[in-house]
Amino acid sequence: MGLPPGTHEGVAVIETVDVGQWPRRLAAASGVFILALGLTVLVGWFSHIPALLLGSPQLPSMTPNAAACFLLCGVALLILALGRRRWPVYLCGGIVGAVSILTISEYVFRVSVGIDELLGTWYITAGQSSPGRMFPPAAISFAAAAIGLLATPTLLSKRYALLLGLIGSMITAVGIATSMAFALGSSEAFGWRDATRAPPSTAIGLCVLGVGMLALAWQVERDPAGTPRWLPISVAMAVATSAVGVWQALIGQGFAPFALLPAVVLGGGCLMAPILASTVYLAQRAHAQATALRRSEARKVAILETALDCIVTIDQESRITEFNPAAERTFGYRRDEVVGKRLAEVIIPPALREQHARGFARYLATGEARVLGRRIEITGVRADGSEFPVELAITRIPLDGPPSFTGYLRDITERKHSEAELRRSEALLAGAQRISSTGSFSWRVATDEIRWSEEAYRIYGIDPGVPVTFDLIRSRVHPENLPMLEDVIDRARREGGDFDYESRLLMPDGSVKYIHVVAHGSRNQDGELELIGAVQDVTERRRSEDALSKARSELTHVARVTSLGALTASIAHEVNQPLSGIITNASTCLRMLAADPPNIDGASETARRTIRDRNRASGVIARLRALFGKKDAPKELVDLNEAAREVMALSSSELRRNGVIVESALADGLGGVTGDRIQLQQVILNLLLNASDAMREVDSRPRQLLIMTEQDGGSRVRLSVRDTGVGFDPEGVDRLFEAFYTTKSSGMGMGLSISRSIIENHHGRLWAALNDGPGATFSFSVPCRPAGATSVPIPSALRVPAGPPTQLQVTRNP
Amino acid sequence: MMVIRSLVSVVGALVSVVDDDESVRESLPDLLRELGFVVQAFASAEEFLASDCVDQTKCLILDVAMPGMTGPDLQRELTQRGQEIPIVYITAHKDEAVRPRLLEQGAVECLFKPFSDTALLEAVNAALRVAE
Repeated sequence: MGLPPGTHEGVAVIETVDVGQWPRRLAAASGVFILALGLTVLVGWFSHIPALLLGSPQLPSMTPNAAACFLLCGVALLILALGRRRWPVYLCGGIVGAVSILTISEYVFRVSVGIDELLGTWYITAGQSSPGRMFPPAAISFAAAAIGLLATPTLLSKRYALLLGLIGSMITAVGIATSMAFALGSSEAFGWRDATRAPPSTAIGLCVLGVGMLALAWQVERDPAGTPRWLPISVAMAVATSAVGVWQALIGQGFAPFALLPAVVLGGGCLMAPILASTVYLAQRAHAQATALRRSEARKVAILETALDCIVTIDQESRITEFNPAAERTFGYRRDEVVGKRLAEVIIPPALREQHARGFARYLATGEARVLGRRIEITGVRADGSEFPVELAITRIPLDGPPSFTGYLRDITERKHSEAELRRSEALLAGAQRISSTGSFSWRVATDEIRWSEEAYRIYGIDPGVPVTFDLIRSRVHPENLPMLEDVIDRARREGGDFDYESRLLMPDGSVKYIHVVAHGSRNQDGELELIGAVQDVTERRRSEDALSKARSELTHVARVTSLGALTASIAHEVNQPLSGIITNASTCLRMLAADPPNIDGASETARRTIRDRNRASGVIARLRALFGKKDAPKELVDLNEAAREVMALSSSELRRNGVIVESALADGLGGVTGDRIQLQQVILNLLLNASDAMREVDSRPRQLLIMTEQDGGSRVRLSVRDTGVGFDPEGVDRLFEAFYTTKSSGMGMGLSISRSIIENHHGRLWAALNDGPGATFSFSVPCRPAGATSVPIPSALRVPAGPPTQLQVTRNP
Repeated sequence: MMVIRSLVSVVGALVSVVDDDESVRESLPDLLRELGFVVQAFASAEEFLASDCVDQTKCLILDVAMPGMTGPDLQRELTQRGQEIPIVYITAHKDEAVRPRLLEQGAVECLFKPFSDTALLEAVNAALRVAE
């Protein structure tokens, strides 16, 4: 039964073969028998006990040589049957072969080489033409047996079994024919001129030896189909040999060689041999075929019974001939209910029966098949009338005669349901991804196997289905963001951690997309690291953010410039007014004094006014100092970490815009700083923005900014901001803090100057240092209360030391 | 006022000072008098307009920025009334952009405070020449 293409059901039929142990036991028993026979006769000869010679007074006895040969053959047969070492077999075979060949030579060449006297001369019976010489067919049989024994391979094979079988059948035939001749009252079987006649014991011995060899051959052959393949030849040989033996016996009885009876025996034997052989051969073949058929049938039944698929076979009239248990379960019919009914009436819904009938008729008429050999999905109907989706594959059973078909059906309700669920879920996901401009991806770190969702393909502007590689991704990432991409990949490979960063894509049409990538690493069921993440197209958001930020920035700038301008003008106005009065009064005073006569009173008056205006100018300065100078700002206890976090929060948008990666290492347990929180925050903000500005031109390395706080001895705390920017000229480090000193095209140079004065107002120190690597570090250190002094002061010995900086926040930006 | 009018009739030139800043109103008239002019000071444009010195004034020394009516406002008001008095602006806002604009609008001069007595004298003389 051939399975149709696409049927995924594996069929495994396991057959067990058991020939049994009987041939081996028979071979062993035969070996033991002839061993005992030979031994008994030898003992009889050597101890002169005629009874043990197993002969009758009228007949010749078995010669000692034949007895020895039986003994050795029995040993060899036993060893072979027991599967022991080979060398005793070769030894026995060699001796038997030598003795038998020499005996045959004596007969053939009519000489006496003394082989007959091998075991002594005293027993040779007088009156025999060739006293003590072995019966010639026995010698030939022993020679053949010796060949069989000497040819024993290390591993018993079928070819050896053939040899053994032929030899065995020949020997058996000789033995049987001789024995039969005796039974008929003749000792002339295989008689030849004056050669020794066969003793009955030898005839029986040969029978048993032959049977033993046949059994051994059978054992080696191990044909599960029954009989060995060489059996016909054996039979032919046996029949032919027997015929010759009987013919000889008849001649010995006095018949002329070609008298009617001997001629009939010989001719019939020779004729019967091939006929019997062919009969056996045909019987063998029939048996083998029957066995194969039985097995095939058993296999088929096993498949039908255990198949998970429904298997239904129909004949040319579309009547059901087979309906397996799976079909019974699926359709709710019993096999005997449906066999013989038309398929369409049983499992095809009424609406489709017409179509089925047409298709079936068309195939029968024209051979045109639309469904054969393919898998199709149709609707089936159960016994209770309910319909359900079925997957169907039909094959024509390759037999002559009227066509019949096998249908494989599978209930795919579950699968259809799952498929529909999956499609819906996928559609939902795709829709959600589309609406939110968010694609998803997975990355197996070990194999670099990357998978994208459809939306991810759309975001990257790549045709769906193209295999995703890092090279492909690199081809889309904005060149300025490539170092960051490599950094993220490296970090993920090394630490397997999550990442969250913004980046840009440069599309082939030159447009730029902003993307936000978030990924989470985890181990899959194989223990491999796999990152699963989302990539969101944030271009629109970034554009509006940019626009908003730009507007805000411009507004801030305008406001700052305006207020400063207004302030400058107002300061100048305030000062210029009294200054103008002073100069005018002074001029008047001079003129009054220079007049003739000098107007002393007027001059005095104007001088007085000069002094008053100076006081007025001083008042202006004092007011300005009050406005910009030391004010009685509300002093409070400031947590420097908290202040720094607020500033980082305020400036994060600005820093992100500049592509700065902000890391913080804020030490726990810092002492509080008494001072003006707003002013200190202005300083921190100023340091952050300066650092960001210093990295504005840096593209060759990550723009990293590290903000650190730490305890600076027992009574001070220190805050540092480290960048990887352009640094500064060490020669000009002092000028950095001068007012109006700037290295920036856009700056006014007020920041560091003001910052330093704020820090100095807090009795602290602000300084700058170049890093070992690129960039600079700006730090300030201000006095603090002992750590934890807000509540109960802790003795310094118990104070928790400021631990190593801990990384609290890592934000990755484009 | 009578005194002023009689003085004007004798000397022939009245210089009016309009400035909200008191120290200017105190010091500037004294200096101008020392320079030989008849001077009248006013604290605001409104006060000047309300006085009867408007007709007599041959030179108006006018502060640009004042609460209420500013210097340029007063200038426009006078123009509307058809009284073209030569004006010398004085201002404490040193804004270079202001000066050309004021001169364009007809001012004789614009002095930034503090200014020297010679600069003042030159400006007033220039104004009086215009007035004649």
